[in-house]
Amino acid sequence: MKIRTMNDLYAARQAGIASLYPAKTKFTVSTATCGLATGARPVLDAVKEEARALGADLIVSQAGCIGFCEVEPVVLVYCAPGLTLVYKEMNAEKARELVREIMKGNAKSEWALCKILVNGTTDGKPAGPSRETARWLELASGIPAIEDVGFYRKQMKIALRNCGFIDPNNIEEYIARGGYTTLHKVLSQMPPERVIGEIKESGLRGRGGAGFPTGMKWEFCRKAPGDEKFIICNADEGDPGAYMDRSILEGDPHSVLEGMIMGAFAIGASQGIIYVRNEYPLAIENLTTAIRTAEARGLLGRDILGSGFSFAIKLSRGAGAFVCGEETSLMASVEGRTGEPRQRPPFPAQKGLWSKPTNINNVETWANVPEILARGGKWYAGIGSEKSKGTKVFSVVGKVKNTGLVEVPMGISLREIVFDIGGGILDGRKFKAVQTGGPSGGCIPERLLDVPVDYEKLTETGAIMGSGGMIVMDDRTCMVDVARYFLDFLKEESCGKCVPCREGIHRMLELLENICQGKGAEGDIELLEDIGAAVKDFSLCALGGTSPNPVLTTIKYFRNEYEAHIKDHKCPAGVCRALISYSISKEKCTGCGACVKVCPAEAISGEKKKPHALSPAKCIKCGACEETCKFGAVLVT
Amino acid sequence: MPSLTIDGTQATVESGSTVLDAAKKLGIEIPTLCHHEHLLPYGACRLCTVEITQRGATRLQAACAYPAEEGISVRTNSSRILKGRKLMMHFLLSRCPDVPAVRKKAAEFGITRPRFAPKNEKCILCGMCVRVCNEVLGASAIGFADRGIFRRVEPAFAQPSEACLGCGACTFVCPTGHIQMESQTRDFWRDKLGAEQRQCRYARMGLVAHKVCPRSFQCQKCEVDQAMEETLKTHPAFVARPVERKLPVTIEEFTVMPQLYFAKNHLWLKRLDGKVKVGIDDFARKVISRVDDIVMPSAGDTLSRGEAVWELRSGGRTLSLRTPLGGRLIDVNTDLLTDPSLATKDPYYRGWLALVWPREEEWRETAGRLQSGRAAEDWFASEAERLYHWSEPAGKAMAADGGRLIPDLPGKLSETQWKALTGAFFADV
Ligand SMILES: Cc1cc2nc3c(=O)[nH]c(=O)nc-3n(C[C@H](O)[C@H](O)[C@H](O)COP(=O)(O)O)c2cc1C
Ligand code: SF4
Ligand code: SF4
Ligand code: FES
Repeated sequence: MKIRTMNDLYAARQAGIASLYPAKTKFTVSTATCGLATGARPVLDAVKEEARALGADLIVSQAGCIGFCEVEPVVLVYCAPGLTLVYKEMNAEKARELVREIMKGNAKSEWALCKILVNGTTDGKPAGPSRETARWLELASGIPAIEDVGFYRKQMKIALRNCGFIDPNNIEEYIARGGYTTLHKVLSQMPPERVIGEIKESGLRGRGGAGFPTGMKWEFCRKAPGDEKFIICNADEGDPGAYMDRSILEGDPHSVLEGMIMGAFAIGASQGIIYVRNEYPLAIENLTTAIRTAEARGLLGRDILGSGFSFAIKLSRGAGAFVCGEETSLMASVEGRTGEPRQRPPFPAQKGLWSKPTNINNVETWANVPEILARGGKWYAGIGSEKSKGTKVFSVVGKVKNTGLVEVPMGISLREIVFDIGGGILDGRKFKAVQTGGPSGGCIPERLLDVPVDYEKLTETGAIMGSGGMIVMDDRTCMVDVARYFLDFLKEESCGKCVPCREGIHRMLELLENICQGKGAEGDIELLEDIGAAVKDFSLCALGGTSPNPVLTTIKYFRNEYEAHIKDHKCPAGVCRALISYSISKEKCTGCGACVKVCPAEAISGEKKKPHALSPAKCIKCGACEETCKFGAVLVT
Repeated sequence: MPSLTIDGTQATVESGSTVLDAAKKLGIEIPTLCHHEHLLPYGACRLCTVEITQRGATRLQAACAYPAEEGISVRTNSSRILKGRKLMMHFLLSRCPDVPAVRKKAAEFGITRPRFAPKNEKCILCGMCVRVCNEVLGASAIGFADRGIFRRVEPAFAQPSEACLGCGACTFVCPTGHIQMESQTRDFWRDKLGAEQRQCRYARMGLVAHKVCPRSFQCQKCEVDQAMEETLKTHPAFVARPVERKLPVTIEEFTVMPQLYFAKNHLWLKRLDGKVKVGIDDFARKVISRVDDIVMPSAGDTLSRGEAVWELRSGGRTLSLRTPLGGRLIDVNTDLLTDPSLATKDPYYRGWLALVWPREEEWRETAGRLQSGRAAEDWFASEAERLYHWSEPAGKAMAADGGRLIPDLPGKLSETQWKALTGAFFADV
């Protein structure tokens, strides 16, 4: 049934509340791509089977990711009004047991990650806590509240507000959490200029990398002459290891659709396109469902919410090249031409898709819009630092204890992200650097860890905010090797159109490869700096323009490591194979022989229980012996 | 007319100019390598990079592609720029150390030896060949393949594509002599075609009407060809269709696309390796105003020439259109089903109607009746004339101000008038 009035919305919301906060126990399995990769599917099946076997009266549903990917598969149990218990590191067997225990009235506290208590009112929220809630709270007294879990304590969820908590394929659950209600307000009460005014006041800046003020961009496009305009959602997300956008699309697709409809209304566009990479099948599936449902409910298509405003959204699948995320090549690719950047100006707002004025924003940018318009630009502007407002989602990966998706208020320090949220470095190692901004971001050292998350402050360090990739490195990381690794990625991703990027990346990589092999020469560091500066200055698009960042920041902060490679032919971190050698410490070796078995080159020999010896001539430097030795007797120099 | 400053000197230039044009006007030299006056701005070599200050912010931009905007201030020779340009030149020379044109250019920068491990490439990837083929000839017979350092011009030169006109414009513009496809393409055409089918390259470029080559494509033995090259002093491609002509032209109030063929009933056709795309032209669009419903045949059907297959509806009136071309209908534009108004919103691109696969003879027969290029423009002019003066029976309704079509014609004409109008302009194929 189509939704046309506030009353219709209210009815949909009631239905949503009933499925979000049912009167029965509800098991929700996080089945986003990250969950599925760790085995959420068998967990889901197990929960269903066990419920059937017990004849238990419970509801089983699915949701997106709650961000803490390290502890997936995750199961949420809604056990009493207002109370949800979150269980981590599930598998099929544990899931079956969990169902049995919960139905018996046991909280199984030792498997729990945290509990979430929503103090609800009757309007739009679950009914307030009941006696049942009190009983379960008692049972779950040993489980920390979500606010007390280190990973979540400093987080603030705006873009990810619904991820993991609603069924992405159920539009009513989205509406129950306030969705499409603001759209009704916007379409019926706000003139487009006021919508733009709110966004401008909020200080929202593009989350796709460059951080351009969103309200200003909308205004340019609104003012551009033209009878037909386009809105694009950039969901190409080509940064390896980053999955903020995927998580939003999989867990809460309607937030993006609603944001786009609001943007279209403000700008005066009638057609929207979501450019999503083909490698995201689940995101495509959920988006397709969301678009179809929104159309069926009159929230998309002709005459939205009976307001007379019409707007349609289509999906366009990306070809998978990193450079296709760049806005001008993205539009070329949508038009069926080769995905290659072109000169700006003309900017998309002047001459975009099919030469019509076009406004393009990132997934996360769009997802923020409904919440800003719901709560006001001023509210949003109250969060964050002076010039960077609101929150930013990061995917924290690498050598930290808690990997996952985190959404933090701008202005928080990198140290807080790495140590408080990330839980510090794995295996008790030392922190060395954190790389922000994806493959063409920069590496920030320990002494700058108090730098706040802020577009300008990050740029000052030589890194960039980028779209939210964050890689944490420990003391076993060689920074020359890191720079080499990222350039090797970029070499394949440069479109090859312009000289500085195509040839410059190639030449910088050549130099870095030489240095890693101990063939570096005096003056190479300076040459790298010169090339880096010119490639930054001269490239046609930001891919080339940011590509030297990994090189320039590692030189800036870890110059001595470069020098050690070149002058002393040593890799201090023990990574560059050509520059290291393995030996066995006579003192530490117990003669257990474990290394002899794993060495593929038969380079280690020795009598049982006597110190062994390693033949450097035979050693192929695979490092297997070092990994195997429990006594730390294999030395790397 | 915007005015800007370059190296401290003020210049006022025509709108639509680039910073490079403006500098030229002032006699300030900026090095270029991928720029060609008859091709659209491209910005690949970056040798022409300059510093542009606008509203207090300074950025480095390619002069050949940056629009000469009002109030900008340009510096062409700061040390940052000179240093960067020199490095670009080093990159190019190390890529193509044996190409005379590159060595010569490098010498202008005082560079004589490659600074990096020399490669043995012949192509600097300036894209001129691809662009001339695409933008000027509309043939798109060559393009780029692969990315990054592996980028190259394709198709493989031993395998000329059918889209190639054999005109040799790519060879003509290539600054390095890398593209040598001309003679091989001619051999390809010669082997493939019977003597009476060997069309002269001037005919294929649209410069002269059908002319059969009597010399097996040995252009160097042809007096006409030699005379042409001598008198033109440039490649005939640029004379036949200078790049300005490749942009859409407006005839009266109708937009005519240069690379399309037009049928008498105001449908356009475009050939894409053997298949033909069909859509309505701007004349039809203006007459029907806005399509709000459409009836189309299904993909897979076989169409025969003259068959009435499309019905466009607007404000209760119907425009029935016959197909000018027979063949198998291999694709229809399903976007029109969700948004029929696309046909009138964007008739030349997203509003296309059908993709037809004709047999070769069918295409050749049809092509003879179609108009393109200058002939099409003349025809549009006469159609406009005929429409504005079409007095019976609805002249008054249409001759709004100064011969312009008044909007929403279908809604303003009676059923009889509408029938008469469509009969006069859309019946014939
Ligand atoms: C090489 C390259 C890749 C990019 N990839 C993405 C991407 O995957 N997603 C994205 O939203 N923006 C990407 N961008 C940024 C876009 O060009 C554009 O600035 C952005 O989509 C604008 O949206 P925003 O203002 O909301 O950030 C990329 C830019 C470059 C230069
Ligand atoms: S900077 Fe790189 S990716 Fe961008 S246009 Fe140039 S070659 Fe292509
Ligand atoms: S073949 Fe010649 S014209 Fe074509 S890109 Fe290479 S150098 Fe330029
Ligand atoms: S001449 Fe401007 S980029 Fe090549």
